[in-house]
Amino acid sequence: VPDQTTQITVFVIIFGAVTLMGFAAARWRRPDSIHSLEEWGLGGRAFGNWVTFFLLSGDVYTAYTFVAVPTLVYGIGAAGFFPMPFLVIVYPMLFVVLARFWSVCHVHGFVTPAEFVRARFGSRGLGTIVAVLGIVATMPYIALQLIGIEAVFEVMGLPKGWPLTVAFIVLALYTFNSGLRGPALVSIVKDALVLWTVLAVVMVMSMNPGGWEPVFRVAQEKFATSPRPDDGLLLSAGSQLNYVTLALGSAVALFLYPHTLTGVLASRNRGTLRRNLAALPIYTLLLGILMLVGFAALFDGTQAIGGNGNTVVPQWFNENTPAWCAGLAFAAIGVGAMVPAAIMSIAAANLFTRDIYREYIRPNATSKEETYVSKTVSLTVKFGALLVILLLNTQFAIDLQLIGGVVIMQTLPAVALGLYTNWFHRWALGAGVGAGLIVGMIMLYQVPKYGGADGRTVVREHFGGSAWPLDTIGIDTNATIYVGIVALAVNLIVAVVATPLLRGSGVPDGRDRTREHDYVADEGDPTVRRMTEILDGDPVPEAAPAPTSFFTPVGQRQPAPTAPDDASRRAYPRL
Amino acid sequence: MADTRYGPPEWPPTTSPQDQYGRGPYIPRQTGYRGYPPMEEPPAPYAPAYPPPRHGGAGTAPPRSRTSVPRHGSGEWRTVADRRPPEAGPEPRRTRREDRSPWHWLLLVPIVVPLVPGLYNRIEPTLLGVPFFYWGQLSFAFLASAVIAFVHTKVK
Repeated sequence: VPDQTTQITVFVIIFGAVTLMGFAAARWRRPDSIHSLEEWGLGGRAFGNWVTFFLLSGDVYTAYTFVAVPTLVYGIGAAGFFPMPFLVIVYPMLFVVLARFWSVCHVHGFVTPAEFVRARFGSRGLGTIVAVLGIVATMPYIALQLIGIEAVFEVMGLPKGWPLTVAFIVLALYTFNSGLRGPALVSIVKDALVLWTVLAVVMVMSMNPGGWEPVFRVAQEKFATSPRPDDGLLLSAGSQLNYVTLALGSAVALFLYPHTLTGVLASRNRGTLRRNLAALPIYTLLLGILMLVGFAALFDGTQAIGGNGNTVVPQWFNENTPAWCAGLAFAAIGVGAMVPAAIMSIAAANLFTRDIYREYIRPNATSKEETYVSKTVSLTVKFGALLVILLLNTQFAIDLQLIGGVVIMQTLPAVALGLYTNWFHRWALGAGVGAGLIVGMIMLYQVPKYGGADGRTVVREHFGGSAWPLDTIGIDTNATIYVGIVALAVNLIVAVVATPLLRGSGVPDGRDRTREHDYVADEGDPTVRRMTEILDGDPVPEAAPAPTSFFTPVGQRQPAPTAPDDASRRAYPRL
Repeated sequence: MADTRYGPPEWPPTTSPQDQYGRGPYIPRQTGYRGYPPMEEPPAPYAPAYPPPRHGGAGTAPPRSRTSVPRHGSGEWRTVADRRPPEAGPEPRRTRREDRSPWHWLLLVPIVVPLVPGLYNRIEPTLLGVPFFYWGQLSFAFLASAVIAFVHTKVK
């Protein structure tokens, strides 16, 4: 019988230490005032190589990944291994675009991708669309992090309700207090724990007589005897297309998720970012080894607790490692849920503040007010996620996240291609997003959920997954394709076709407020103005008061109300 | 309007007026006078064009030599014309990107290779008992890391 007291003790000690760190992070590199969105929401945009690495890895490799992906491998074998190519190809792709995104956001003081789209295509509506899609896609992702923690609690024998609530109240409070500095500091602990967990896996498996060889033999026998057609140690012919498109689509979506971009914008300069992109594939290696735990669980005969598939990985650690080590692994998952959940809620809150609140509700909001709104929204978002998990069922959050991935991919033409060209017409981009969303929703609606022993029994008619069978449109094959890729293709085609049509019919273009040089500006560039202010702590020099003219006795007595001075507004009338 | 007419002289402007593009007043470059660096390309002295242009050759004005240009046109003094906002022509549609580099094409290798299952969808050769499908894909992480690091050093 596993020693649950030790596990809980280790977990609680680490969790307490992380909580203290989260609150103390507010004093880390303390700015004069944390009451600005760039301080609270982006950590002052001053994270160096190491912190950026921890922040990005904490952001990308979420607890849900650690829990759900090995479960997928446990269930279907090779087809569940898609995160490996996904998290490898994403970094070369990001290497090209992220530096440009960083530069233009720093020159103009943008905090969210939606602000960039608004300035690039001169369209407030398009910016709002990107912001709303970002929020919609991020919120179920936060709920998924809770599922990761929940699985750990279930294995430790804790009840369902209050431990999760306590954990999330703690998370919400330190995020409210410290902003992005909190998860940045905590992610260092998270990475240390994950590294230890992977080392534990390697050590346990190397002590296994015969190493990995019997593990894969057992897995092969199991897949050979199972009635499911789509499992196996290798990809079946029908699942290859889905494997590739799912990896590609997930990579595209990862770049577009607002929380990734928040982590990116917090880095100090372009070089920091690019060095990190070279290092992050190595982290994927850790995830890959954790995915092999799925096979180890098959070998050791681990069974999920109470039919909750996500408990397979924690349960494997519970059964095969000492109690203190299992406690560390549980803490890795728990803390690994905290970091991305905090960053996601900050990203969603920034989207709301900069692109909805300041655009439509109070255009003259001060930066202090912006920060306050952001903090409040981040609290709201987290508690919304908690309620979804506690009141509705877990499957609902998973389905929503599936839809969210398809949704966020539709912002690719505006955000990613927008970094390279302003050729697209703003209305064409809007039409493309609409078409992509409609096609994506229809296709997701058509995908049934399979279950049962042979994996062919229809459990649910609609929204059962993202693998769309090609025989829906009469192609005689059992191959499936990832819905998001098809929807994105439709989106791109509509945008490309509609742009010349709209231009030809004289619909006015939006005005691009960025210049080519904005996309390559770096830390020392005069157009990137706020870096020295942050790093050296110099106060922003106040503008000299405008000289009064004594020759104009008539005119306005009060100066016209102007928008408050704010870094992102100041960015336009620059040198 | 009345305000400005009786107001203080407007040059130099008390605050730097900014047009809708966020640009300040247009100040021409001061070149070729009293220690200012010369223009990049001094205009060629007047010489008849040989062969003469086929159309309108006789009626066209000769190329202006520097000595015949009015002094205020040389950018030596600011003139009223300088205060006109620059003509907001359309931006050139295709500009050469400053961060363009052929080395970026190398990044296609770690993008394309993991997306071709035919390359790695096999059991043999195994490494420590792990089928090639798994350890091969794990090794793509090193490939991506190495290629990105290489490209980073090349385009830095």
